[in-house]
Amino acid sequence: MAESKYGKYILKGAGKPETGPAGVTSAVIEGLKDSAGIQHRLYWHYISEPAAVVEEPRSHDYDEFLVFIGANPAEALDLGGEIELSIGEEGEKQVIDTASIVCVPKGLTHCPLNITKVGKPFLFCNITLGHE
Amino acid sequence: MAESKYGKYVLREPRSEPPPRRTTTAPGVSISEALMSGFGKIDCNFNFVGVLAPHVLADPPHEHNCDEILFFIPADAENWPELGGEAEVALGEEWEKHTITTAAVICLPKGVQHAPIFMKRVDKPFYFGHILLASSYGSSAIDAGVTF
Repeated sequence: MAESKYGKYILKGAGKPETGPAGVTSAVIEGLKDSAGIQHRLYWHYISEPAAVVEEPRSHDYDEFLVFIGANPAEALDLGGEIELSIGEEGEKQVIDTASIVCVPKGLTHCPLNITKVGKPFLFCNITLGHE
Repeated sequence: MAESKYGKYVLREPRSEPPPRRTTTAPGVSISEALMSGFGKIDCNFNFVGVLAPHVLADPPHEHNCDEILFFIPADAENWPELGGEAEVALGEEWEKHTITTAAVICLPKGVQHAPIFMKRVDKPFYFGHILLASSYGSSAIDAGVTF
């Protein structure tokens, strides 16, 4: 292609994904954190075994979504696993065993996040709308 | 009327069964303002769609009055960053075409026209979606002639 005017808006995945705790393979598509003026960060975690993904409670000044979805796009709503997530300063535990979105408005304490059962692989995506 | 000789040629209110179509997408999760009514909204809506077979998305070229992110993500990390298929995205009023064959995120500042989006090849189903930085999708469409 000759000189591109819009190619700068496209961030492409590259390199190898990172391996975190056993059973969790994580990828983030690198780019400027405020790519094209949009402050965001998207993480993609491929879950194949139970794991303690985040051990400490946290909160931040940007909104975040935690998305849990099956790894088979033809049956995305069939999660095939179970997650335990603590929410709030009280650490109220929520058990998630279907495809779900957890909305975390800025300031809301969340985590620990534990993957407790994996019947089949699934995808955990976190969408952060702001700088880390 | 007496017995008709040619009435058989006139089909009134005809309806035949639609031909079977190949399933090209499967629903994933999605969120919008109404679903967030329990806690007040976050100015963001998004969806995940499973892409199962080649097709062209129904959305005509359009733009929004807020920023948008499009993503193409493989369903597993086995061959990261290979997408498992090929998509062609037209960007700008020029319809500058971009080919996507790896995991990719497209960051579209408000006002940048995009689409058509053509899922050209699907070797292995993958995920596609949008993340729009407005509480609902329809509220952000600039082109009044297009209804989403």
